[in-house]
Amino acid sequence: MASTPVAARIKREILPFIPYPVRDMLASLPEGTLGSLTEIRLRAGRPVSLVLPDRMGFVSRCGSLVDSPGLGYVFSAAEAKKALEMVTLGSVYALEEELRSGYITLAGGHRVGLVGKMVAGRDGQPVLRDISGFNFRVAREVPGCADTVMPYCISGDVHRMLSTLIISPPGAGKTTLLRDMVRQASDGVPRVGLPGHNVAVVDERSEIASCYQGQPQNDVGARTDVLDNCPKARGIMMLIRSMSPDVIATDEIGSQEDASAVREALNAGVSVLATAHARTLDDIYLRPALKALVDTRAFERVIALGRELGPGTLAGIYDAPTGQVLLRGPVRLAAGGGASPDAGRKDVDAKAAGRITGRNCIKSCGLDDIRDLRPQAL
Amino acid sequence: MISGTFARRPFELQEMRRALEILETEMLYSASLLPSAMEKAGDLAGPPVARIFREAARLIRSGEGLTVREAWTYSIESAYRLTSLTPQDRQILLELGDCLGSSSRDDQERHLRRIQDYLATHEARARAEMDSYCRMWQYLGLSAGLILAILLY
Repeated sequence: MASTPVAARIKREILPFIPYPVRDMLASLPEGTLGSLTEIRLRAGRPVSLVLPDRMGFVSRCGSLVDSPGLGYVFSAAEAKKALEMVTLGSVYALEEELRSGYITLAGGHRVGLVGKMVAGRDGQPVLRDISGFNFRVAREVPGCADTVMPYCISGDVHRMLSTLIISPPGAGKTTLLRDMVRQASDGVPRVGLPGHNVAVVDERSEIASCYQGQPQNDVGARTDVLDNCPKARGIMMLIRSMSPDVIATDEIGSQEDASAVREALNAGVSVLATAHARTLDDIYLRPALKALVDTRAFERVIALGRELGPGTLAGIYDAPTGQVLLRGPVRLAAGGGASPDAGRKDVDAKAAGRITGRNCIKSCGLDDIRDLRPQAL
Repeated sequence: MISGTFARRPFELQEMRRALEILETEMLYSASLLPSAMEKAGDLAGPPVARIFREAARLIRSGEGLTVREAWTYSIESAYRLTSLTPQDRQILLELGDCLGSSSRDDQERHLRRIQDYLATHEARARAEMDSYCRMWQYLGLSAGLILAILLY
């Protein structure tokens, strides 16, 4: 049986960095199981653990997924040492910065999270040593997952991207959605009248573009510049000055410094696409930097994601300045713009009525249950 | 055969030292990954030293699960027969495989410099040995000629 595309990618791009015999055990997993892996966790002295979208398990010596840790193959400390050499291509000296950050990006955009002992490095900064745990996170692009949200994030009059904040709990697909929004903003979306924009990405944790040796491994669009591994606030200021972008995208803003940089970008006439950890809209108001950004109407749209229908569930799209609901979920965002039938119909109806932009989305969606973004107490 | 070994060893030690200098520059100043740094050193070195670096880079990149130490050892051992290096030279080069790539830049610099110092010292000695060896044969040739001349007359 031919490998599924993801299974083939895992075999080609991840397994060569996993030492034998674990590599053979993983390669022996059924194609369907291998193709749906989201994480492969190797911990010295403990069984090899696998994470799938709907379950967790362990890999047995004979290469099958088992639920009991006692049946799982135990990864040794010697194998951990070997895995580090394989992941770094024997170049620990060249990856000191990555070891400080706790992850390494592989060709193909997959990331390897690392844990071990933190010790002071040459410059006093902590560096990871005696690495004992690896988390191979399988990179998955979902092209088209932003199709449903893009019409709501475009300004009707000047065809520009509206500044948008994507919020969700961890693992709900914030970065995946942001990546596809970046791609679409960069390439343009003719069906909704959005021309291509110069987009600049500050990719502090290499999660959006997943650069490997400076080259984006994910499709982030033809007009996108990526500043990899750069602190967000500094990167935003650098890009405003050096690359004159129309849109700046960054991941996981939260500090006051980030908020100042975002405001600086907006003042320079640049739209900002950003994500933040927040379980609900109300959580934004518990984080002073985000609260200030929303209060000062820095963002024009807020997209909330959840896990109600699994990762990539759209909980709602809101007009940030007024708090009006533009699209209420749950809607499952999927590759190629697939969405739940109900939401899909609304979207199609809206598209049929003409280009969907800002305010007319509210009308086209027929939403009368407008709610305030801000808790009344605030 | 023996005279060839005497004549080639200093040049091979010099080639190896230069290749390690390139490797050090690539690793520490260009921050290249080890296989790329080895390929660069291999491209600029003469045979058979080039073969050692190219083979090690290929093995590390192969994804066959070899550690740097294993790849380096295999490359040295397979090229050793083609060189004029002594068992002691071989041992020192093999020791480099124990630490190559696996520690901080400072540490890598220390190890690479130590090996380069060894190679420089032994290169000078090998040149001196080669000179004295050549001189010895020159004297022997001259003496043999004189003796032959005396015997003939």
